[in-house]
Amino acid sequence: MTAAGSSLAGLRILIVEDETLIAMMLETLLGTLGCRIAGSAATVTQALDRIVALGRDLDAAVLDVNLGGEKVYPVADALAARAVPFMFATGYGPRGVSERYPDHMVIAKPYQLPTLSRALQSLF
Amino acid sequence: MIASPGFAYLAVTAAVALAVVALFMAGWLARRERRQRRHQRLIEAVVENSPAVIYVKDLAGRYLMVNQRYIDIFRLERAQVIGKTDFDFFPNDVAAAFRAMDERVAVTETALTEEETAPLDDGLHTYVSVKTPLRDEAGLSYAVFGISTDITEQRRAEEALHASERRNRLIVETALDAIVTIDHSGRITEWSPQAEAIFGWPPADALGRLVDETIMPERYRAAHKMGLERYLATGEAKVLNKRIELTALRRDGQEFPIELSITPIHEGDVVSFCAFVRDITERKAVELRQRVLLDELNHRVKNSLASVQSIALLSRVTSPTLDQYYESLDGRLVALARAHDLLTQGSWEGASLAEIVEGTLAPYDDPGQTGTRGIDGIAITLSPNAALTLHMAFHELATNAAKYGALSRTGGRVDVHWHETDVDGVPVIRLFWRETGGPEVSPTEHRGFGLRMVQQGVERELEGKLDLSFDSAGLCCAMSLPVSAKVMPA
Repeated sequence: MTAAGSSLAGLRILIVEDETLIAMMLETLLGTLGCRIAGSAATVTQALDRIVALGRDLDAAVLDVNLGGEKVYPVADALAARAVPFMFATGYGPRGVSERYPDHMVIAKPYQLPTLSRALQSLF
Repeated sequence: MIASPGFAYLAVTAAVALAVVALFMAGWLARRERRQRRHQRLIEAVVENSPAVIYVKDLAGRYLMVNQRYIDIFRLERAQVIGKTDFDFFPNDVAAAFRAMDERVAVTETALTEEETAPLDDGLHTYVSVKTPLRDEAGLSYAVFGISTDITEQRRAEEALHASERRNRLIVETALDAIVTIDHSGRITEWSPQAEAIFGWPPADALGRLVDETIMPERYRAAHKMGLERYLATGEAKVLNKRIELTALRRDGQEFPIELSITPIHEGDVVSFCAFVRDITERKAVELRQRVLLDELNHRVKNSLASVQSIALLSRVTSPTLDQYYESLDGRLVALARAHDLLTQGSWEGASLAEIVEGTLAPYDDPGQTGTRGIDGIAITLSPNAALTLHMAFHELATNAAKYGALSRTGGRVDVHWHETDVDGVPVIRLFWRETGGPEVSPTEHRGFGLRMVQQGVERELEGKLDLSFDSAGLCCAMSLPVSAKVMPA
């Protein structure tokens, strides 16, 4: 389980996910891949605050698209502006982000560890 | 008297001349009579064979003459008719009507043309009657001459045509679809009431206008003109005789979706186009709503499955045996399902905090005891996500209480109460979960997935604060939840 994630070891990942259970799972999965959790935000504001606070200490982010009715795009824009790679994870599938980031990496919920691992590697 | 030769000659000559004249006269008279007879026969033949009814009545209404047609259609003998009046053969009202027209002709001494109705074997027939007075040598009227032509068939055909036109008009006027007809130049020639309803143009304003300038958004007008010209020139059409969906323009400038079908109508060399138009704004809105609902449903199902996946993974971390794993997984999945039930009852707009607390504690009711729990607080509505999270959090607290805390022994009790207060000017819901009457608990027993879930839910998701204290009385869990769209006092 960890072999696939070896190249991801030590990466500092920001989680943006409004559902606690899913955020907790993602923390566990990223831990399995050897990543560190740079932060876990449930709202756009929390995420933007966290990005500013982290500065350069952030390597990548996994973004849920719909945060309790609020779209995650301002967070994506902020990451893009800082050249921090990120991916989307959404129950809507690729169609869920086509409006703003049509060609961006998207994984569909629910996803498995190898999918998450491959998607993260493809960001670098 | 002695006849002189000169006299004799004269007499002979005169006699011869007279004879010649007489002979000539006789011949002329005979020819004239033949001609007259021929003429008479011709007239008789025409009259007798006419498909019209021909008759002559005297001023008292007595028949002087009728033609064969009369005899045929009324099934009478000629001898029965001559000298009789209409009152002898027809019902009174019919005869009176005939007589009235005859009298008008006699009184006015002019020819009249009117419609008359006569009963025949197969029902009433309608006639156009031309009647004219006949005058003697002195110029006095002595009879009325009439020719009546049966127009029943034409009349029936006309009525059928009118009825069909009325029917078509009714169809056009009551159709749910608007019906719009244009001529070859694109001008509106027909505009049904429904067209007015849909497009906002009354017929008086719409008729004669160019259709593209009336109901098409500007960006489509050039294409319409080209299409019309191409069809007229080549007969080639892209939009005719099929159902198409387009955007149309209302008089007030608003655009809306329509469905229409256009049929070309060729009458001789003239082409016009008839369109059936339906406003499909409603249908489009329903389609969109359905798509949004389906997307939303799909999203929710995927998220629920992701939650289940998460529960399966996280329960494994804290379950030493397969049986314990199954037990906690089972309990958490049922709690998730209950949360969904509560949200579905509220149309996924939210759920009440009291119901969530009540629902998570109810399974641990001790049948022999009353008052194992006390729940008290103001009405709070939780957003769907907050409801899901707090439902899972209270499920974890209740399960822990049942396993290790106050609900693990008789006489134990859980009290949950909450109220609204103010922390540094920010409205906050303070909630206390207090266990009493249970065994003494230590923090270590509680550091499993359950309390992590409670802590993450309250602090990360709901941006609140969580304080856990363990004392000899049992667990006390204090939450501060900022009032927001997620946590709203009702």
